[in-house]
Amino acid sequence: MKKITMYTTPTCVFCPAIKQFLSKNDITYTEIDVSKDEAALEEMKNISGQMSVPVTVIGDEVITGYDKKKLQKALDA
Amino acid sequence: MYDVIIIGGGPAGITAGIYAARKKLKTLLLTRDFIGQVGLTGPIENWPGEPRIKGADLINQFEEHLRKHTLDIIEEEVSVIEKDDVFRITTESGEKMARTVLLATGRTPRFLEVPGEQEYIGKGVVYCATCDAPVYQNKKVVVVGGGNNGLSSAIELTDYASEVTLLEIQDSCPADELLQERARDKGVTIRTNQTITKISGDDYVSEVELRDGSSMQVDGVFVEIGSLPNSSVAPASIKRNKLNEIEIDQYSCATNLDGFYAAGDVTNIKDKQIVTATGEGAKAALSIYSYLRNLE
Repeated sequence: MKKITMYTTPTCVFCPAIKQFLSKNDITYTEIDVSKDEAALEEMKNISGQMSVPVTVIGDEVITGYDKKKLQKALDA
Repeated sequence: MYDVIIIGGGPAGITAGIYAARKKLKTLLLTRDFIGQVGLTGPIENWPGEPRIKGADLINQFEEHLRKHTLDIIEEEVSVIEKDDVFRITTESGEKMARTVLLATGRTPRFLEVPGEQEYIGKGVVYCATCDAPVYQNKKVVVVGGGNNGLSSAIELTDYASEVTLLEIQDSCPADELLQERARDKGVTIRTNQTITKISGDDYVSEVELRDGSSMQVDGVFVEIGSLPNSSVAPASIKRNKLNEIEIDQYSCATNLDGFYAAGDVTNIKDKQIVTATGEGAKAALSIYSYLRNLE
């Protein structure tokens, strides 16, 4: 099983959509709220080069934003 | 074969879906997602019955309500709409057929179209203030656009950012007075006759140039300069106005193509509001119902 981490904020509107997508597929993930954790925010920036949520890490794949096709591809890979 | 295929999962499309299902029309709703413009909006204070609700929560409620009805829902984007004796709609999973179509695809945020903008998307250039405001804790930010969305975003940002400046290109902000007053009370600096002409930085945004030639050191640029209609998927024969909005009969939401209807923000209705879009969706669904009955 691949390790899945999601970087989110409490107000991120695309995050619930991704969570729903993962739950539908019975996939467990770790959620990190970057609004409360500066170190986590730096970590997210380093991994993705982005200052924007959501960032979802599936194994070695880094997916920014809500892109169902990319998420599915990373899960299937 | 469907009686109606509704394209779009925003207030107009969802309301039309509810109305069509209640009229027992065989209905398919196609949408990329249930987020849209409402989902990207912060607090909403003009939806009756909810004095203050987050956009994402409101659209979730709409979606839940829709799913209580009997209709097919597929979350896929439409690539082609054609008409011979029936409408043929292509999505990635194949072709769907219907006797009528309702286009309710809404609008997409407009880009600034200045150097540096595309390069720094997600690296300081933001189109969803609600999503990313918390990431800009103790940072300096600038909001471009003095409409309601711009002012709302600026107000939201004051909870996180150390400095919030709002730029409006005209000599006064078109936003509701109430929001302008609230923004000033929250410490937002409003500068009129001003906009960004260039965005630059290193890995992330660090500076913007303004049209008077001055520059500002900022970490975030929040773009709120309106939107463009998602009308390109409609057949070429459908009449659009100069703004590329679908021209509809204001009484029925019909277009110039028989059986093809449009509703909400993608059309040439004057006011683009959630409450007006839901009304237009209902109107369109009821018109389609009458149209189909008259065919029988």
